[in-house]
Amino acid sequence: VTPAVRPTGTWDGRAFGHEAFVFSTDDEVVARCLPFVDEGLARGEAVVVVAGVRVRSLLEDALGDRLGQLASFDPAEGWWRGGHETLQAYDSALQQLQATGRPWRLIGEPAWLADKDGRVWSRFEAAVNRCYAHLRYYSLCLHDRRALTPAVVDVALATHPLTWGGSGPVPSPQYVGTDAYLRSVEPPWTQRPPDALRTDVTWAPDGRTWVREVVDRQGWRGRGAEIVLAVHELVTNALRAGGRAEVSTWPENGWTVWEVADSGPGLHDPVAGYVPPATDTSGGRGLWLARSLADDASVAAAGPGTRLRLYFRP
Amino acid sequence: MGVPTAVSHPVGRRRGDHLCWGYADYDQFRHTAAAFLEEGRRAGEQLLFVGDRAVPTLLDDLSPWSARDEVLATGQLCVQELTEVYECMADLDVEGQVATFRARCRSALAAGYSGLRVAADVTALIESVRDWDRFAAYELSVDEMMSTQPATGMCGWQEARADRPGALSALHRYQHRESGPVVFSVRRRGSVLRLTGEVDASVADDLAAVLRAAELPVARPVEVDLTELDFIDVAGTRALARFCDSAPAGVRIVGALDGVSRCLDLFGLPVDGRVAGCGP
Repeated sequence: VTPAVRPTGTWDGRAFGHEAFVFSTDDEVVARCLPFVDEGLARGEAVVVVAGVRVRSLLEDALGDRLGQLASFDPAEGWWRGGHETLQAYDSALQQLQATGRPWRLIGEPAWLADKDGRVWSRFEAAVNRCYAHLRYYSLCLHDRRALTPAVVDVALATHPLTWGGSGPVPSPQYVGTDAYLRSVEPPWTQRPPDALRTDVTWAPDGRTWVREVVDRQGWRGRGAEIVLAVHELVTNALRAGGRAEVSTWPENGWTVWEVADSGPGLHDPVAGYVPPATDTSGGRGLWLARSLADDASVAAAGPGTRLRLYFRP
Repeated sequence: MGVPTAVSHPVGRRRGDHLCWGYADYDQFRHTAAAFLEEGRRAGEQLLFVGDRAVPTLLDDLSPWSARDEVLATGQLCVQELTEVYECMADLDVEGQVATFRARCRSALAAGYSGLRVAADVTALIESVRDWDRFAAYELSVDEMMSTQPATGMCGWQEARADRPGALSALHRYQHRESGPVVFSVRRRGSVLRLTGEVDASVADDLAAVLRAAELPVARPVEVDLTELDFIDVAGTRALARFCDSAPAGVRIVGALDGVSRCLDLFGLPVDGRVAGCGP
């Protein structure tokens, strides 16, 4: 007796569902996606597809007339514009769907994971488990073993809480949780060297002047203005949190590290600023901007306050 | 043109310069005004000293100035009470007042002077005007008028009594402040608003206030020229984005430097000359 397939298990459309579906054959992907689409259409949900060439052509054939009932059916090829820009576009599409007030579902194939540059996306997959927890959609993320390295597939299973169990989604045995995954890929949190340059800032323009001078001495050219802006945004947040910011910088493993520490009480959330803030003109963009300007970033608690590090590679 | 300049002396000004002088005590201001007017005397300009005091008192205020009696006798110096210059202080007539100054410039030239130089303590005007925006709009208009006339002006106010002194200062190319830094300016030329200097979270509210006060043509997009804006952060850009949303015909942003563009992108503000905000 074959158990009845439940394409989204117990998902009730009230929160985020996040599944990594790993497949090796065309039949598998069709068998997984068709009931998923049909269930969504039957429930009156918007069904969105973003996928690579092969998956699109398989779904076009399999869906036939139902293709016209999808809310959108887009190529993944045009989506990758670097981590932050891709996420910004993705986020704005999500916010529009969220604004309808109804649940929706996505078949997404982040085909760019096949490229080295695209692998930073795994971090967002981990971060959205918390950042998007309140969004009312089920994200069925397709991973083609024929196109991806085993390591990339392992990361997918480590960053998605759900995977496919044959008749319904099941918890991914390899899932490590958002924080643990981010810690494993962010630069290791080291002791600040005693000879790091440091200053205390109580007024943001003073901080910018100091950072500009140091950046000039460090020999950054075109990138200098980005560093000044990124550090300034962290300083502004720190001043808001505790009226004072400690700024320091040192070289580490080929990076230049810029650290901004506040005396809190602030958020120590390692995912803060990982996804774009709301699209209206309210707050929250400074950290997102700082992260997008830097090559890497990490966050740690420091007593009641927070230490944020930005990493820049020449 | 150019970035806002913090000044510690009132002299060195040329025709077309618009200077503000925030002061802590009036005694300092009257000495400053005397030095400013003396420079105009040497340049052969018609001089006007204005304050919220009776004329004899205003004349006393200038007593440290050795040439005072001479310029008074020849008619080069004119001293007037604030209420005489600004007929209706509560409902300041922006266009009428600017037209009056323009006419005085012409009269000065007709009388053989090289231009008009005005030192005015406008603290009482700032306190009397019914809404702050009206005064700010007046300063924007005066600044624009002075850029085309042989006029030199110094607006003084006691900072402790002025609402939003940082934003008022920002309406001037040359700024003197007692209680705060000089970081940015906003000037209007036709339907173009020109931002200069640096705008960050510490002055974002001042920028928002100035932009609100800029009287905008309703029928066509306002142009915001950022060529001279060296730095803007997220908070400053947020003020700009709100202004774009509220402009009746939208805003066209031009001249953004790379770092500035990065922030504008974050708010979806186009930097390629397309119109941002609610277009027609």
